[in-house]
Amino acid sequence: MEVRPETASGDIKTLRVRLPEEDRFSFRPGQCAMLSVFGVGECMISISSPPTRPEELEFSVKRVGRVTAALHELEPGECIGIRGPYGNGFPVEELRGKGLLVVAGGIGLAPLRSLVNYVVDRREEYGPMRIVYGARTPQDLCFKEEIFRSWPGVPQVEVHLTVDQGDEEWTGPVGLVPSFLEELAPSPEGVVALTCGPPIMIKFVLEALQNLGFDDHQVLTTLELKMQCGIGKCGRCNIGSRYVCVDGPVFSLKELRQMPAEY
Amino acid sequence: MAVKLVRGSDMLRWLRRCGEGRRWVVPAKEDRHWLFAERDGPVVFPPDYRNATVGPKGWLLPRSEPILYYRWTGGRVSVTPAQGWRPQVIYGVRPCDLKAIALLDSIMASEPWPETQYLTRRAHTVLVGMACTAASSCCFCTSMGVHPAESYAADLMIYPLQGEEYGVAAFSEVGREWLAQLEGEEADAAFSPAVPALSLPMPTSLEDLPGWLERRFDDPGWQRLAWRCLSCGLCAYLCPTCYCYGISDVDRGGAGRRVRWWDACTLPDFSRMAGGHDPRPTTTERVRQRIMHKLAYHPARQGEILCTGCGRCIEYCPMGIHLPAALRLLGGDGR
Repeated sequence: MEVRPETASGDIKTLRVRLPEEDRFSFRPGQCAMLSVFGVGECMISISSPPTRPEELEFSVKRVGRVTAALHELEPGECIGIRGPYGNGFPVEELRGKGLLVVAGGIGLAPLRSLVNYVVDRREEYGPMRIVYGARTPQDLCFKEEIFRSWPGVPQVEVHLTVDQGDEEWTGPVGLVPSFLEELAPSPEGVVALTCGPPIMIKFVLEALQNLGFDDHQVLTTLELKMQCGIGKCGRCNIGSRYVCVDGPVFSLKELRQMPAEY
Repeated sequence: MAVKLVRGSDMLRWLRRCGEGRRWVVPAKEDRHWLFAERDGPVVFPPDYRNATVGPKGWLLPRSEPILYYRWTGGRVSVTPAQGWRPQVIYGVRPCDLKAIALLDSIMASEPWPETQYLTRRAHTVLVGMACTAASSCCFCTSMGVHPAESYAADLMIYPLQGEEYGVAAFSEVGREWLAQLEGEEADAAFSPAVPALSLPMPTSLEDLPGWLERRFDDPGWQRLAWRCLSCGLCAYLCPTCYCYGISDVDRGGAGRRVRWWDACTLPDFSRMAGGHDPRPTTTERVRQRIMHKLAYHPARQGEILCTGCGRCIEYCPMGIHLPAALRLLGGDGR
């Protein structure tokens, strides 16, 4: 296992995990796994690498509590426990042939990155892909190699970056993701929008997409709540009658509107 | 009702013989309270016994149990799953608690990920039910569609008849095997079950209850309930259908165990995430969650109400927060 910092402050790191061949599993972009540091605990983290690259799994983890801190402190070669995959993931079959609008903020790009690289690896099966990504500062943008270099070079992929606050080297746009998205004004025609980020960003992105003419069924979001069992039994990640760990984490805006706003 | 008739002392001998090699879990009195405890064998209930304060839930879903053991050696870890079951008989379970076990069974068996530790323990359990002849002061089973003589999850049902006489009937393969070993005549016996003490004035039919509650999601009644709630979790611990659990590691320096323990959605940290975000940040949302889960969310998911009318929440919540109280407050009267 390797641990790679994503941000200058080191608050987000990517773990690269090599599974023994007999333990490898197939999964869908957007699915999650429970990571264990035995003695500290477990937490649910989305798989940020694509299923098209099965030799190694990647998990991008923001340090927010005990388990994520322990994951950050791991040394290369150390062992973690992984169980999964959990959740529904993105509907990659239904998305085939459609244009994709990926809207992410901060660590919210992690689950979408699995989908982006899946589409990159099966480029001819999907329509044009636009990635709109923002973070607080240029230092806080994750997956820099991909967002600056590899993704912009892929046919029919556009990457639009913004930061809340620039620095002396930043020459790109400055502004919040929702308003930046409205300025870009992508057409909803034949496009599905997928969004993930801090709850407040998701809220305003959903409004922006509505203003741009996206229907509720054209908008997918991936949610995160506290999870412990991952198998729909421990009872804590429900939103109304739906469990994020088995029925989500991916919900359409149409589904979200039928659920209580407890997320 | 077709049963085998048997005298009490013969019944206890027969049960003890059939259950040989199994742990016996039976109602036992500790100070003022009845609970289910490990004992030598089945017992005859005293005439004033109604139901245990703490039901048998913990013998299927223990209050705390290891789910795995781990040991670090160098940078590598070895993991051994826990073997948390022993063959057991749980004896004297009332129909409300039998129905609750049937509900837990369907929850733990639900796809896509059945909970195997519960199901394994359950598969090694024989349930001997005891029909109710008298109600406790807070019972309301029939209001929730549960009947005081129904077998539900039981393998065997015992119906107290006149004096020393009991009727016994089997409801599963193991129940029939056991019953075949009981000497006694098959007879048609008339059993008159208890009439629950309370008959709840329901605001709507049980089928319409989820919709009725969903329309009251933003009702100020939830906050009035929350003002009273002490967030102690007692309702969840005593409720036979509450099953929410937490998981944490107990480390003893390089080795330890991962433990699953009873949690409760009414406790403050239940849904609080690392980093501080909490979708149910105050008692109001948490009280609502508990009631909605039982009467709206679970019915939407698995088609059944998650309350069997055992009456424990009415009898034991120190602040009088229980399903009937919630329905009354949300219904408008009582404001």
